[in-house]
Formats: sequence, C-alpha cells, structure tokens
Amino acid sequence: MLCPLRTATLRAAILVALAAPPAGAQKFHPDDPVARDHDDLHVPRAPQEIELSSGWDVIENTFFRPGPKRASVPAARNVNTLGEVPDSSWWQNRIGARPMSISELVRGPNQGDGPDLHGGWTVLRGKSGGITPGFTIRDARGDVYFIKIDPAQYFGLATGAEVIGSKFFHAFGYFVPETWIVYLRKEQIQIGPEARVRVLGMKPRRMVPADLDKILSDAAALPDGRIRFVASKAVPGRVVGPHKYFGTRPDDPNDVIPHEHRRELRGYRVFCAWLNHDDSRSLNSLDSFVSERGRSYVKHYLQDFSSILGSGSDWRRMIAPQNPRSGNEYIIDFDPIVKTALSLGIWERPWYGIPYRIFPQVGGIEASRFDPDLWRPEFPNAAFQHMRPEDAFWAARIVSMFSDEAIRAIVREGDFRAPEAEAHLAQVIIQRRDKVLARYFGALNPLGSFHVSGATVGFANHGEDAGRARADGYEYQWFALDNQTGQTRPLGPVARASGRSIPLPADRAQYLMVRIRTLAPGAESWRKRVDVYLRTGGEPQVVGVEREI
Amino acid sequence: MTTVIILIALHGALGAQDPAPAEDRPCGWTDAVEPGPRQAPLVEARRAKCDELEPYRPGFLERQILAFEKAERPAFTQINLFGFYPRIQAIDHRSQSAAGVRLWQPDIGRSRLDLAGSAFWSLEGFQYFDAQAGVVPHRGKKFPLLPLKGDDVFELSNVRQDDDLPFALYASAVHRWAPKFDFFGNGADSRKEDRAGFSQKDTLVEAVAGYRVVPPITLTGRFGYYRAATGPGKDEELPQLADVFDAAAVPGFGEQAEFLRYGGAVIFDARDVAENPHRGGLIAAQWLRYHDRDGGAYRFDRYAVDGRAYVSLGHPQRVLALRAYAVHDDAGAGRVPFYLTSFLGGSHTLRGYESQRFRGEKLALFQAEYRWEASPALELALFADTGAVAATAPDDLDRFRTDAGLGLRLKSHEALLMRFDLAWSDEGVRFLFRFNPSF
Repeated sequence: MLCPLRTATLRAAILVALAAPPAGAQKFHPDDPVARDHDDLHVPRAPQEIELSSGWDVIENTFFRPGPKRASVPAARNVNTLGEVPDSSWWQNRIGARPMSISELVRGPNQGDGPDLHGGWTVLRGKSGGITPGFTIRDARGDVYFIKIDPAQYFGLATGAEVIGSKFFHAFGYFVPETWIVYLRKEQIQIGPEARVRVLGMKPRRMVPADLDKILSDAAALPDGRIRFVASKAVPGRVVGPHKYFGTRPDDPNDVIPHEHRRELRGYRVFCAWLNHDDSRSLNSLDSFVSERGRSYVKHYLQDFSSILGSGSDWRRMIAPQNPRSGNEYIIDFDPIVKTALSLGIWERPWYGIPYRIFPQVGGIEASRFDPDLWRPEFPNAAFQHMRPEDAFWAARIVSMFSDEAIRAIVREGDFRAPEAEAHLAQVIIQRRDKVLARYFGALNPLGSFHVSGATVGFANHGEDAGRARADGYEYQWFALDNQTGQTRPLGPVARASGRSIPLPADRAQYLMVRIRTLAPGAESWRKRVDVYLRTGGEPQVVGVEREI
Repeated sequence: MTTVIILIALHGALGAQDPAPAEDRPCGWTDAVEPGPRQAPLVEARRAKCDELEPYRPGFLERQILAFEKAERPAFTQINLFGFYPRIQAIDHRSQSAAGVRLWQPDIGRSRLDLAGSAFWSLEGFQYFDAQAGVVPHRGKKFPLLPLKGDDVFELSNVRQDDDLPFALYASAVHRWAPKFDFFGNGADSRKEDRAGFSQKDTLVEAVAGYRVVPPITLTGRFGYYRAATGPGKDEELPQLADVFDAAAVPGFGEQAEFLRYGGAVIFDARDVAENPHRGGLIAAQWLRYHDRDGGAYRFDRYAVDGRAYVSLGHPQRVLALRAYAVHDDAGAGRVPFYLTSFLGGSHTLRGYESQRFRGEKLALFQAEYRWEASPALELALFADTGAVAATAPDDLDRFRTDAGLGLRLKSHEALLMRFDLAWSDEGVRFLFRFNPSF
C-alpha cells in the first residue's frame, strides 16, 4: 500500500502540507486558514478495488510495522494554521466546528427514512460466518442495505452498538453509512434469484432458503415475532476497497498525505478509546469512488461499529459481550506475554481484575479502570501510534462537545428496551468522556475556539469547562509579526487577564501574535504557551494557533 | 459556450445525482476556485501523481493469506479426492513420518451413518490400515480419532463428551505392520543397553458401542477378534530380540496368536474443555479380556484406570494438571504376551525415556504439570513424571523412574495444536514435538 513518493513535487508536498512553513519563509498566506483541502480533484477512472486480507492486516501491523519512536514522530500534515483539520474526502467538520442540536446528533448520517418495510426485502447475498452474520438486501424502493442481527440472548448488543457508533462517528466528522434499527417479520424476506451466500473459508455458492433460516434461526426478536435488524445503507458510488492506516493509495492521485500523518486518523485513536472501538482496523473502513459536480474522486468512509462499546465476540467469533482483553491488550502483545512467561504465570495482566457489569443488551464496558493512554485496539494501528499530544488535544476538544444530554440521547437510539442497561451504558460513556478530557486537556494549555469579538480576543478554556482545574487568570503578551520572515517584536510587557478575553493592542501591525499562558493551581502544563495569530487588515481575524507541546 | 454553462449549472444542481463525468476531463481537473498559495503545492502534487498511478500490489504472503481466506484455494487440510484426504503423520512409536490418506464420509446421505478409514506407509516401512463403519464418534465435520494403539485408557474408549451424538455403534478393522519395534526387556530392571528389535504384524476386527448416559458419564463396550505375530526386527542397527534375550523368557515371541478380545469401560469426564482443560477432571476405568484361542496360555484380564485433574491456581492462566495411571494384568497361571504388555516411556508417560522403554504386567504412573499461559494461544509448562513397572503382576512396583522437563505449547481455545517438550532423565535428554496433549 505504501506509495513511494518518486517525484520532487510529491515529496515537497508532503513536507509543505497545509500549515508549517520552513524557517524564515512567509508564515501566512492569503488563503490561510485553509477550510477545505481540495483532495477531490477529478480522477477519470475508478481505482481498482482493493481486497485486503484480514489475517495479513493483523500480521503486517503486528510484526512488520513497529511503532515510531515518540521523539521522531512529525506533526500531522493535514492541519491548517489554526491546528484544525480542513474538510476533505476524509473528514467533514461537524460538532467540532459548530454546535449540533440533539435532533441533529441523533439523526446522524441518516438522510432518508431507512429501508422500506412494507414492500418486502429481496436478499442479494448472504454471509453466514464471521462475528456478525447477515445479508444484503434490496428494498421495494430499490435501495441496497447491509443487514445484521443480534443473537436471541443478546437483544440489541451488536445492532445497538452499530447505530450508536454511526451517530457518534458521524458527529465527530467522519463519513459513515446511514444506519437504522428496524423490525421485520421473516416472511417479508425472500431470496433473490441470483443470491449467493458466503461461508467463511468456503467459496460462495447459491443461496437457498436453508441459508436464510440458519442466519435467522437464533435472531433476537420482539415478543410479536418481528426480528430486530440493523440496516446500513450502501454508500454512494463504487466501492474500491478499504484504506490502510499508513501510506497512501498508489492508485488515487488525491491521496498524497501518508495516512499515519493525517490528524483525523491519528485522533481517531481518542474517539476509539472513548467508545471502545477496538475493532478499528482497515477492513472496517471503506473507500468509494463517487461523482459529484462533474468530478469523480475517492471518498473515505468508516463502517461496522457493531463491535464497539460493550459489544464483542467470544472465542467462536459469535456476538457476545466484550472480552475483557479487548481494549486492554493487543491480540498479540509481546510485553505481557514476556512478563507472564518469565514470571511463571505469577504476574497477572492488570485488567484481569476489572469488575465488569454485564448487561445482555449492552455487553461489558466500564469506566472505573479505563485509561485512554493504556487503551489498545485489537492490533497496532500505525496512525494511532503516530498520535502526538496536539492530535489528541484536537480530538479531545471534539469529544468535549458532547454533553451528558447528547450522550444519553444518542444511546437512546440503540433502542435497547432495557432502561437499566441503557442508563448504565450512557453513564459509562459519560465517565469515559470525562477521563478522556482529563487526560488530554491536562497535557497542554487547553485554550481553544479563539475569536475576535469587538476589541478583544475571546477564547474557551476547555480544560476548565471539563472540570479539570480552575483557572485563576491568564498571562499574555502581544507581539507584532513580520509575516515575511516570521520574526516577532514585543508590543508591551506581559499582562494578566482574569477572564476569557484579552484586549487587542493599540498598535495594529498587519499581523499580531498574542502569547497566552493559563494560570491554574494544580495544572502546571496549562502554563505552556499558546500563540494566537491575528491578521488585522480589515476586520481582525484569527489565522493561526500554535501550541507548546 | 452557453451550452457548457448550462451543463455546469445542471451539474451543480444535481449534485451527487450527477451521472459519471466525461472521460475527457483530465486527471486533476476541478471546477473549484484555483487554490491559493497554501494549497497550491498539494494540488500540484496530486496532479503530478496522476502520471504515476499504479494499482495496489499485495505482496506474496498477503496474496496467499487472502486466497486462503477467500477459499480460492482449499485449505491444506481440506484437499481431498472423493473424500480421501492426504495426510502425513506418525502412526506408531518408531514409524517416523508416514504418508497416506484418510477417508471420512460423515452422516452419509444425511443419515447418522459414517464411514472412515485410512491407509499409511512410513519411511521406516511401517504400514497401517483401518476402516470404521456405523455411528462413529465425531463432532461436526472433524475427523474421528485414529484408532491407533494408545498408551492410555481414554484413547481406547474414545466416546467424548462433546461428540454430536450421545451414542456410538460401529464396526472397526485395523491392520498394522510394524517392522522396527523396540524391546528393552520386561520389568523395572530392563536396561537401555539391551535395546533389541523385533517386528509385529497384527489385525483387530471388532464391534464398538458407546453411550453417554448423562453428560459426564459414558459407557463403552467392545467385542472383537485380534491376531498378532512377531518376528525378527528389520532395523539393521539393532540386535535381534532373540540375540539379546532368552526367547523362551519372552512370552509370545516368534509365535502367532489369536484372541477374542472384549471388555468395557466407564468414563467420567468433567473437564471444561476436553482438549484444552483448565479445570475439572476425568476418570476412566477399563476392563478388557484377551481370550487366547490356542489353548489359553495367553488368556488374561486387564484392569486399567486413568485419572486426571486440572486445577486453576487462582486464575485460569495457571493450571496444575495431575495424572495417575495404573494397569494390572491378571493372567492367572498363564502369561501376557510381551507385545501386549503395558508400557511406560514416550511423549505421554515417562517423557525422559525412550518410547515403550519399560514393559510389564503391572504399572503405575504419576504425572504433574504446572502450566501457565503467557497468552491464550501460548502455554508454558514445567513437568515431572514418575512411574514403575513390574514384569509380572505379583511383583512389587518398587523401582520408580523419574524425569522432569519444560514445555511450550501452541493452542486454540478448543485444543492444543503443537507441543514441544524437553525432558531430562537418568537416561538422557529427549526433545518431543507432538500435535497432541501430554494428558
């Protein structure tokens, strides 16, 4: 998958990226801050569909891609001068850029009404193996959906996780399929004449009624007999396979920033840790060749959230509450293996003693022992391993946008029909959110959302809002910036502001910089500087933010 | 020009509903405002990459794994011709690797009837053939256990707790030619230096019935005909048995004998997972009668008991596995043919000693293993074995032999996949590589 960058232009692009200029070069350009990365240039022919091996994905990431040394990790290369991720074929700024109403959050990616439930479904193909058995259908409107079920003993476990995950990850800013929980009688489903079924490890063959019976034989259902399904609508365009979390697609001209250097993929680790999406592997991503406004390009989706939160699988790869190892240790994790081996088994994994409260509907997930730094996906992920503190901070700020009320509303969309389980899950997510914020707002100066308001620069203190610590005030100093050289000149002494706004200086150089440190007892890292840049020609505008790591 | 503007306007209005774009638009084309200086290098890089596009090319290993996952090529273990599966495996303690085929047709015509068989030839000249027909103990499509002559009771009474049906009823025939068997002498005082060779040819035809009364308890019964003949060994590096031992003192050597063989067993199996136990236990007790059809000189009864316990030590990753195994042959005034005596030594008993190193009409074995899992798929073990044999049943078991060692095992949740054991005894160091558990 790694595409060698053979031309000087390509190599230069990777170094230049969207923000950091070389030393001594012009610091800001007229198009800063970039709001949209135009990685949707026209591609005349669709890339060939990539089929990735599930097994190789594990092997390659476990054995052949050792993580980078922390000191050698470069900054993310697709952030703008504000430190934000511009909109692109990977990412659409949503809750991090503007408030989202509860109704908007719970609608999530869904545009229509979901699959037609009156005209019956026609099965196009089936899958009777794997963690989540299911099939693909076409409804009476002609729309195609991927259908999954829960086992009877775990009503809502995987399907609820799928729906909740789609709404969270959509709100973060990723592209995800439209997803609904629906209830339908088995008699309303028929097998299409060309339907084929695939059983893991066997060649596809024609699907027969017995295959559907087998898939639905142990499906969770309502007392009236209707089976519970989660229906994910096929994404627009032509599917061209999943994406890896390192390198670039060699057949996609728009894909020039190595994936491990994309902030939204590095920060994905924070979101996955929060929601325990340990199955955040390449195979649960999807690239689609779409056509919009006369251009065709590859758009990048995330899919399959049925194994997040407390939903997982047992040793038979059947849906079950999460294995305690999930989220705590890689499938193959050398450190605990060596420790256990050398200690004759006396050393025990720390997570062995975690007291999980298991509900059939929401499985096993907890917050008391959750540590965002120690959280692990199923196997190493190159983008996750490249995450730097500022990447984590960026993601944590988005996490902080979810209120308790919003979280409860999204969890309600899981339609678990088990109030105690639903309340437990929402509470765990809230507690895990607080831990994420405490961790990543505690490492840097947690100021953000800078804006010019009248004659002041206003900002938010995300760390204080999250309850991490209380700020006594803010130390600041104004500078004039020579945009051509990057040199700065003090405009006055260090001053102090008691609130979340700082008066603009009288000296209006074309570019200004204000260096801010947060004064908060018990939060020393908040004294790290944040440099905020303003362009003053016309209405003053915030054009840059730089953080001390 | 007007037409173009209208078309572009329509494109904008239709948005995602737009049909596929014109093929003649160049790679890198956009209708967006040309990028500013910040974005220009990236756009330039993308347009440059248009000239360097190439498909994704997976490496060799990735292609092989993908082909396996997609079942483009059948799994190695699933390759077969009309139900005959090629296999390479050991078929006896000195056979080395044997090549052959296994036939397995479970649930023929959706009935409960199964047909199994196998034929193997080893590099050392061993031959092995067997066939079973009827309701053969099995689980799903998995092969039934090979009815090789084992060194423990449980393998002979192979109705397992997790088999599909609670009963078994089948006819079985086994024929074996073993040209290079070892004999060290009978009893505890046998010496390693006295190792001698002999050959053995035997045939067993029998009917077997088994019934799982309640989940932990299974009863089995069998009735059959057994014929055996021994002669000079074919290993040129070993002296012949008759050259080392007084043939008259080795009952049955050089003779052909026929037996009616019948008996029964009761098995109490409370292991949590039969082939990868972490707790629970198993007790199997067996009685077998060998009824010599040529005058009764070799008629005897065999009583055997095999007990195993698995104790989790505070956590399932630490298991103490214990085994006690005892055999007592009652030959009355007769003798037990040497080739039918029970034995110790080898990968399941005294691991620090040669296979079948100690033979006798009576034996006792005690084994202990401390097993700890570094991960669910990787187990390590420290073990010790001690056992003794007596040449004849009235003799005392008074000379116990002991070994100790360490092991490394690869496992799935359901079963042990590979076992590497390194064992030390007063007769040296032995390295064992097996595809089955020690006990």
